[in-house]
Amino acid sequence: MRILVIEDDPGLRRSLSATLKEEGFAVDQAADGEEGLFKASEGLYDALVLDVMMPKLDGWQVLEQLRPQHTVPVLMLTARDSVPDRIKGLNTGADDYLTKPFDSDELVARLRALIRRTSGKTQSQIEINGLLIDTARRSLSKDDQEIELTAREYSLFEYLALHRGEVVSRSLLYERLFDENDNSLSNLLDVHVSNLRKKLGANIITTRRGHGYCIE
Amino acid sequence: MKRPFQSIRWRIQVWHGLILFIAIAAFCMTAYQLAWLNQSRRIDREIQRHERQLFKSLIEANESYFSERNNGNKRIPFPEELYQIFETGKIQLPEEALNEFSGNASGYYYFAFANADGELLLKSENAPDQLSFLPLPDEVGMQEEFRTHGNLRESAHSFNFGFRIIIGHDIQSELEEKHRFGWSLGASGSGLWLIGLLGGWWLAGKAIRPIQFISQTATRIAEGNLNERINTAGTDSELDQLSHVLNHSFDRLNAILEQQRQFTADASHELRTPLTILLSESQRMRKRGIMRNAEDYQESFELCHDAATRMRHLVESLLLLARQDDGYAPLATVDCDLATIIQKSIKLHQALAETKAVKLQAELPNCPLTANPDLLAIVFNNLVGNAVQHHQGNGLVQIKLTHSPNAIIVNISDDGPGISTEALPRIFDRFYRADLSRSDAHAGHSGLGLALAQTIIRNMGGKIEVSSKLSQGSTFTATLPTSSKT
Repeated sequence: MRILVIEDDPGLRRSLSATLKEEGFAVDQAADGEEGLFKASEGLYDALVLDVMMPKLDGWQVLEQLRPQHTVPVLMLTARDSVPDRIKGLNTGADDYLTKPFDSDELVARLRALIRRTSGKTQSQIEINGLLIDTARRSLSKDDQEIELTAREYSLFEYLALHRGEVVSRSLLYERLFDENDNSLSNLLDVHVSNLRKKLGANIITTRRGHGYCIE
Repeated sequence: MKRPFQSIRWRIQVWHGLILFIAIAAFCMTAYQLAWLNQSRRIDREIQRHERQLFKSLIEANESYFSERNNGNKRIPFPEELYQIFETGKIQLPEEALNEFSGNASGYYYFAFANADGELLLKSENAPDQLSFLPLPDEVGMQEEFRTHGNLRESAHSFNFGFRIIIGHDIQSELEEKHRFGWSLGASGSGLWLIGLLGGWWLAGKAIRPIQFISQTATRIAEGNLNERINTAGTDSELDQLSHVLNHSFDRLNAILEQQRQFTADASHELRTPLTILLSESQRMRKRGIMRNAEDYQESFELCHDAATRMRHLVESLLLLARQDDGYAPLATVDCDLATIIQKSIKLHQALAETKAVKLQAELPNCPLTANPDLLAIVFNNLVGNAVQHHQGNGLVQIKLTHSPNAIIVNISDDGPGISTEALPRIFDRFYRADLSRSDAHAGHSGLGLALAQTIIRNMGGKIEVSSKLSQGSTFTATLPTSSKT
């Protein structure tokens, strides 16, 4: 999952990015509305975290210019918690709303819920060949036994599971799971896939040479 | 519930009723008196007419006697002669004329004649038994009087030679008429009074209604509906003026309240971002199961420290501002040198200025004054700091101190980016930031600096002014009186 954090306060931007990265998201950052709008328009992201009060373009303006073409879910962050502000946010096309100061666990949970909703999956649990993925808890278990995965491994497996039966190209996986600051060493993905096969069994992920990976 | 006599409407009503009552009563009394006076005069004239008639017929009846005494000369006899004829008892009585002075039917007339000793010479049969004749006049010829005994009106005469006459008239019917007139006056007066009272009640109500309306609106406003205003009719009446005054007060109160609300909202808004950083970082670092190295922790603590420093700076500024606002506990003043204070501020920003290639040029002659050096340091740290921090780099900031016997003037001018005309009037507002940007919102940047500087200088009796042109630079001018209060 790739997220864009648009926040002008450098401290908060760094903190949010770090939190989201540790939760397994790929995170890009934008320091003002203009940059945020430019990056968001690429359409690479699974969700946006958008601050309202920003220089150049504020959150509302970013949302307005983004909205008709891009359906990416947007979570607004605001320092003002008045009801008219919330209504304005939801009317402009924000999908969710958080008032500063917020709990970062809540932010992560809401982002996950947003992404899940827009991908059409309302169930937070996916079952694949006896493996149970709980997207809310970000855990994987087999026969009630939890299997330890790193955040990146989990994200990779979840992405493939959500697109079960499709062949997902390597470049798409890089786009979705790695942020712009990652050194996209071409074997990084292979390392994660081989780790997953070691933990879950060799046949769980099939490789279509020249095309990508797939969970049958 | 209010007691009725405390209400203005009731008081107006009571006074109105009282005054109206006095006026109507006075009018009725006067009318009554005048009417009776008129009536009395008519009665008296009537009595006089009857008197003349009686004498005329008496003289006619005794004409022969008089002509004999006057040797055949025909002339009207003197009263003395008439008296003598009584005395002699040779009087002839005109029966016909005497008919008028008889009977007891309503409105009858009577007469009586007496001599000097009070002996009755002659009286009509219907005359009352008790007759009080006038005493004889002392010297002059005659004395006369009209008087009322019960329901009888009499005209009494006495002559110095002893002749005394009473002609009387029964005025029973006139008295009854007088009473009837009195009653009808009283009744119509009361009726008038009642109508007046009703009119007064209505008028008082009408006069009071706008006041009630104003009071109701004011109550609603006081209960919290601060945007409502009293309707003014635009007639510029006294009540309209009152409404205007009240509305104006409400406007001012509302503005102050709104300002306060805005300030609180801004202050909490400013605190939210660093608080979010603290929360999110501490939560992140608390999480188990993630491999971290020392650098990660170092970075996180730096973020936390920056956020906490921002909050501390903000809280200190707010506290200082609040204290400066209500003039609470003026800080101790000492003899100090403004040049030294500004020099320190310049030193504080020297490093940043050097990295931005901004030259700080100061012209600071010694300037002793009595003030609180800490407060002055806050002011000039802000002014010099702003000039350096907002500078785009490669330029000059000039600080010039001049003092005359009346005032101390500090000019701080830069060739930085300048301030737009829209932003210029607002830069002293609390939490206002011309660029809206928090991207360089490090510890020293709360949006309170200029507000604080202005409040401090104002409390010292001075002022801060600013002139600026976009992309040419700004000049801040602080003027202080030579004898500072703070």
